[in-house]
Amino acid sequence: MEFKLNQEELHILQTIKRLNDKGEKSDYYQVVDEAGANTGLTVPVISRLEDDGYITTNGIIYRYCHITDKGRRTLTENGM
Amino acid sequence: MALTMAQILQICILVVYLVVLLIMGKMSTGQVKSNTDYLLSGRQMSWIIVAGGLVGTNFSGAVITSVSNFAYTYGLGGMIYEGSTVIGFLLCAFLYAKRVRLSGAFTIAELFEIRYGLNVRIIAGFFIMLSGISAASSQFKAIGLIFNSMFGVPENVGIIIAWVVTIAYMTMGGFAASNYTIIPQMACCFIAFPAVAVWAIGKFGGFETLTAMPNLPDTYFTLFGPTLKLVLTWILQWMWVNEWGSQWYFQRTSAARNVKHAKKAFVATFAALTIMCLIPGTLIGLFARIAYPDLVNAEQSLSLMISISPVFLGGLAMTGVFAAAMSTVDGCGMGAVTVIVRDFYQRALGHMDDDPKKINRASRIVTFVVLVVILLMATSLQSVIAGLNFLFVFSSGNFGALIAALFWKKASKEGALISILTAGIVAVGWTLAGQTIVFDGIWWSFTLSVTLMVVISLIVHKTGPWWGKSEKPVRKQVKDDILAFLSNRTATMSDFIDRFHVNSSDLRLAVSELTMEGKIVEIDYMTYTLKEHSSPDQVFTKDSTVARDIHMILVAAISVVGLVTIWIISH
Repeated sequence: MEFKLNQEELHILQTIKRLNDKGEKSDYYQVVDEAGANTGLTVPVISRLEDDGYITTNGIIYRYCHITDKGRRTLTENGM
Repeated sequence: MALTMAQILQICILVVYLVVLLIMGKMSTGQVKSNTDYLLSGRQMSWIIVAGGLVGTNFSGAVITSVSNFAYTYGLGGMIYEGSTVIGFLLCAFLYAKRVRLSGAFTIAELFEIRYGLNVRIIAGFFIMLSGISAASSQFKAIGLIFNSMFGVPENVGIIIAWVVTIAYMTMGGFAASNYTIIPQMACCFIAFPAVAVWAIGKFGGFETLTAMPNLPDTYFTLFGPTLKLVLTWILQWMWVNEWGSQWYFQRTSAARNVKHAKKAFVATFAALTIMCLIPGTLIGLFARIAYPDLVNAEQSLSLMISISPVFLGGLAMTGVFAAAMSTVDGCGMGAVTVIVRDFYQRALGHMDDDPKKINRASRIVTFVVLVVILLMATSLQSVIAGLNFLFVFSSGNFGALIAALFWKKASKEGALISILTAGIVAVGWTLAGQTIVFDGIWWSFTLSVTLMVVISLIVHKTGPWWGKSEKPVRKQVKDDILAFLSNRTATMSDFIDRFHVNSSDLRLAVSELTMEGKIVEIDYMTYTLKEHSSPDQVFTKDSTVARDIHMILVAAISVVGLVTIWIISH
């Protein structure tokens, strides 16, 4: 079953898009900082975004987040 | 004390390595903003880093020394010792990694609270903390021995040097520091021991010279060198209890980015330990038989081979042994710290809702205190083996409760509490009474923990709970938060732990009540969704079938057969 993203998840997704588009580093801690979120509480949000295909992550030491086409489409649909 | 040029070069290599550790510890400080960051590195670890941690914690100075020792003594049969470990890690990839990561618990004891309640958590946490301290102390002792044999300095001087470096990087970066310093540690080990093994093969005439050696036992080039008692104990200790009962492996699995990374990490650990420990350690031991055919103490085979290898190789290998011991120290020490902070300070003393900064400060203070205790124990230990014996005795009593928590719905709090206490007390008593000469105390704790867990849980299933029949109702807010969180997603217990700063008993009760009320359903191990989002065939029933009951009874039966066999062999 495909679920819609809530405001918090959209906000994190938008932050990742912004960092990606500006070509800035988008590791987990940078994303959380930029979004003004809490590092511990955001762990399930990033996991969910990756599990459902809105972002992909890579990196050996840091976990870098990259928005996917599906993620971009979702932001557009939500007017973000 | 006059040092030779070779020794000065080797010290330089070691100093460079220690400086790199401190720099990496400092680099990881900036990441620590919450307790999840300090104790689980924010669950951001890639499979390579998790595998590095698993390898680093397992691969200690004592292990590589023992692999070489057993190869020297028993020939190819000595491989069963480390072979048990590598196969154990491979089994973990398929049986252990997924469920531990989905549970999301910081500690084994926390998983016990989710399944069995607070009492079991506190009792189990106590034994786990002691096992971590014992393991770390024995590794500091091993470091002292290395300094002593390489440079002739007193053991305690070596212990204190290693202790100062460890305390510096661990209090700075916590689990993140412990994980990232794995990189230089593993790089060093990965090159050093295979290189010494290759050098030994070339130096001593290759395999033809080895097979042509006179006076070798008939079984030397078969797997039948070690006794049955030894083989069975290795398999129990290193294939099962070491991997499953240890807080430090549990914690690293829980810190993985997701289930896929956790599984890959265990497969990588299997491969890495085979390449850097099993094969080179065995080769070094076999060729030491040519170099030193009449060794009285085969434990010296590794250090003697290192001492006659080329200077740079020797320096690298010596740093490798040191790195192996350090990586075990920080992994085990961090395991003990996590239990104290998470299970005792936050949970038992009621600091779950404290400000993250305050908890981080407390974590750093606890790290310092634990390392002081470890230092005191290390400087008073008689031998490395004495510390390792206590590690297994303290950790094996949780085994039955752990496998039941991971695989069996009928597992009861009564079975868990009685099995952990009985197994722990009997095994400690057996060890303190000096009976380990007959057979290892781990056989008692393993058998009692599994058998009592299974038998009592089956009885409780018929009789109903023996205590705690009416639990305090969970706060409505917790249930509402879970329902709101699940409104647009599925989520695991791990997500609940990270998301809601409530204790594990409340989470367990909330999930249990919501399931009974038919509002949520479990669709995989500790993975939940709202009832309206699921279909009846999605409901997770695998752990509550009769087949699973039979599996658990079989495990208990095997443990009893194992104990009886060891008893007969030993008498």
